[in-house]
Amino acid sequence: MKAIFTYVLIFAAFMLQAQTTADFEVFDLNEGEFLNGSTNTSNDPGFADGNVFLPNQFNDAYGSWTGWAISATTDVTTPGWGNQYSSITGGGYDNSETYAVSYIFGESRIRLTGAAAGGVVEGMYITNGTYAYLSMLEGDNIAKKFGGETGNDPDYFLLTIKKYYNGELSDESIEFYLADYRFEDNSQDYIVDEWTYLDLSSLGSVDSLSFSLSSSDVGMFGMNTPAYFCMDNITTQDVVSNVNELEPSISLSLYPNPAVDYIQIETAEAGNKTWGVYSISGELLESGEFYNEKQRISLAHLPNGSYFVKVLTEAGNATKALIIAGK
Amino acid sequence: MSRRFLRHLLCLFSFGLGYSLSAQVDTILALPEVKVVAVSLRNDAIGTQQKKWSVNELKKYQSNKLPFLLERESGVFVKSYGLGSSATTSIRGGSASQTAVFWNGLPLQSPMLGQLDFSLMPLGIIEEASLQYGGASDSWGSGAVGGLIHLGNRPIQRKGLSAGWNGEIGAFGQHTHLLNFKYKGKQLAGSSRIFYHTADNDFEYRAAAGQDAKKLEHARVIQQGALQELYWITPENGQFSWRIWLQETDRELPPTTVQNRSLATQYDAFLRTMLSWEQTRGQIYWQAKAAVFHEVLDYKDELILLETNSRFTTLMGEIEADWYINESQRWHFAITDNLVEAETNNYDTPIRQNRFALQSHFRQEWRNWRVQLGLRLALIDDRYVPVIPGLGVEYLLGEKWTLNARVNRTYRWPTLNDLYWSPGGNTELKPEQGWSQEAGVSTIQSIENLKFKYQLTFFNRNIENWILWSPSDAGAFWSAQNLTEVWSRGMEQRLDIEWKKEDWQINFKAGHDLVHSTNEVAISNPKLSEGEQLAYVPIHRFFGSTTFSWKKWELDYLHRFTGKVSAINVDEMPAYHVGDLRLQYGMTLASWQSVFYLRVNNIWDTEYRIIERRPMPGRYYQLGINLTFTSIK
Repeated sequence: MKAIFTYVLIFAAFMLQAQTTADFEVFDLNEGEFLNGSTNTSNDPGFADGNVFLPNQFNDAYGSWTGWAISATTDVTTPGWGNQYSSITGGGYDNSETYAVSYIFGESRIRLTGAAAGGVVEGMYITNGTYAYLSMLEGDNIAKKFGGETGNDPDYFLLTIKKYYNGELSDESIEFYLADYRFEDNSQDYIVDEWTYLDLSSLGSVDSLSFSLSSSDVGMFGMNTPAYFCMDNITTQDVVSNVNELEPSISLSLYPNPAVDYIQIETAEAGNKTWGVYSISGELLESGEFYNEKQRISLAHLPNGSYFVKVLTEAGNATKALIIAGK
Repeated sequence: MSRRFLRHLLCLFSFGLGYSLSAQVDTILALPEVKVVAVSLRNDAIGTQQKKWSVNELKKYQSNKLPFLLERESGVFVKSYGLGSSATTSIRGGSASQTAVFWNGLPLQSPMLGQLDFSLMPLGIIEEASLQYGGASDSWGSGAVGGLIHLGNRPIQRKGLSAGWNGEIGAFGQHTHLLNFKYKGKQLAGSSRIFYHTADNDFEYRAAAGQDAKKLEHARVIQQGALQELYWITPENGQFSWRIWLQETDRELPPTTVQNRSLATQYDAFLRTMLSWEQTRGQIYWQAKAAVFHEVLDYKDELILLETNSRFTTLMGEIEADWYINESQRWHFAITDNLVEAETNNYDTPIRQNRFALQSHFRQEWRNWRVQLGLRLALIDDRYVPVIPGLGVEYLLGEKWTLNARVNRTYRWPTLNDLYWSPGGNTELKPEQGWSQEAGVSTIQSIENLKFKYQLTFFNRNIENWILWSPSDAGAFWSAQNLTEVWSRGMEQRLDIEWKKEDWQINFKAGHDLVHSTNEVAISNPKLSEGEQLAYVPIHRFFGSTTFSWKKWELDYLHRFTGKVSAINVDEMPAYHVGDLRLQYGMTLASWQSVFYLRVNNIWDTEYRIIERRPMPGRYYQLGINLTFTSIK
């Protein structure tokens, strides 16, 4: 038993190291440079870093792109489309040089790859691009300044994130207001101008993320607000695959999943077995032992979110992602 | 048939037009001994509604631009972006590119944009202006879909020397000066005009009732130009005319009402020169023209670091003949060729386009009928334009009533930007085309001192392959597509009452337009539903004016109502009433004539907008003087 718990501690420590963060510094851009896919000749064009892949569509005829670009531009003062690659912070998260910029036509996606495929996205940092920020702040030829002529228009610029899992687009979403002028008190109106962490773990298991933008400034030709936002330091939880690579696996199933108040663990392995429920950051939250093939575990005091369930046996171990939802 | 007889016939013919409400005089051959008025069949459309402004009417507007006249005295909806800013038109529910504009018979629309910025057109340099409603592609080619506007210069009528100065000052830093010299000898005549206009256009406006007033910034305009004309009447009674028109306009482009600032500027400049020859030989009136237009449009926005420079040069040649076969038959034939070369940062290479056209008109008159058939064949580069026919009919019902009808095919060829702009130009575009029909009745009545004119017109037009720019599949740029079909139909009424007695004269004019112009194909981007009224096409528009004249005094009140319209970003922009007042006093002293005038625009201080997010000025004043010297012969 003592050996088993020692193993659990080692496992937990390993989980902490198994988060992968894509900060896009790997593209090694100098200040002012960007990648918009114009030189990409791949059949599956885009940008890969860590365990994420950012698709890009570059149109040679138009010289235009949609999806994602990688940028190290720093211009926070020049309005207009010509400055479409800059973040309003003048760089990446935590004063890093490089970050990702998305221009959304319909939707942009991020695919999880490698060890994180089908896993959980822990979160990412989000901010406005300079083009959209200054457009909302000051208005331009097409788009209005937020608040309108009187300053009282209840304008907003909303980023909506959904997930694709097993080929299906989820109904649940995470919403993030890149600008919000809907407050009665105009002094509370804001346009995001800092890197802001967005926790995505509640989306649970993900094959890919879907990003869309909407605005209150809409005309006959669609949204007037420039459809750009910036993203950096996206962290995926790829512990499951890494652990499985290092450890012999055993059969394990959890149901129901997503769960509300309890789950049932089922494994074909005989003998003493230890279970543990971990947060996505690797913290052991609950643990216990069982001897039968099935074990019911109460989740009554765990809040909604993403977790991992680990079962350890003499023959090996197994880990499964668990979603608690509906509380 | 002798030449004398022909002249007699021409004079008779021109006088015979009196029963038409608005006969259009194209050219006056000012021969030394006898004036022969030649009206080209092409210019004298049958079966359609026309409006012609007199020289005296135009003089009232000579310090202003063409939109100022059109929005006050016609059914044209002028889409003005504000005082001094760009202005385009919609006639009978057509697009801005479906209004054809001509200067002495030569097209003024930019071949790159397909439209004319009417705010650049000063009225002080023309003597003729007329408006023809409805399609006329059989006569005037591409773009003559909603209607066409003719602007022209009239050969000098009076021998001797004359000179004039119009000076005007107004609110918002407006200064306008127009100086002209005219001379006519036995066979030579010449006219020189120079003009200068500047305005800050920094008027105040309010975003909404109860809000503090804001001042429009970055709206300054400076415009200057010159027009030189020379005429030579040949010993064989022909006439050579040479005109050169130079103009440049520097404009600051103001921010919208939902934009904090703007640093955008636009520079428009052009040189337009034309040489024409007119001659009557036997029973045929000949006219030949050659012209070169070179135009520049530079847009610059230092805020967003954007600069676009456009240039085009057009070479035009035209030969036309009007054959007066007999008293009831006429035949017209014309060959036209326009070669344009255009370049801009957004064309991959300079673009060259050639437009060649043949056209013919035949008129038959018998008893109370007048019928005119037109046909136009055109070749644009190596693409044939469909055959464009037109048929107009007029029937005199008694002495005071006229019935008219017209049907014709119309088209608008895609502009160079539609075809070649990079990105987004589409060389596969088809021309916008369709058919238009109209029918009407008019009457002229007189009772003692009272003259009464009334005209009622119904029209219908269907256009397919309507070109719109919309976001492409690639997302980041827009492209030109044949996206939809538009059905326009409506009714127009015109009323003109004149009362005269001794020193008094009162004129009352009014017009009402009812226009439904609907999108007939539901499309997602731009978002247009089937049956939806086009943006910036008011269903109702009313304009009216009353002029009181007593001795040397004259007082005008002009009123216009524009119904609600849909816009790009809002479903509805409210209707508005605007009224203007003008008072003038004239004096004559020997060879000197002077007219002093005061104009109060928007006298009711209406807060209104024609284009969303573009404010219009409240009440403002203009004070001016016209001084004319005429040598006594």
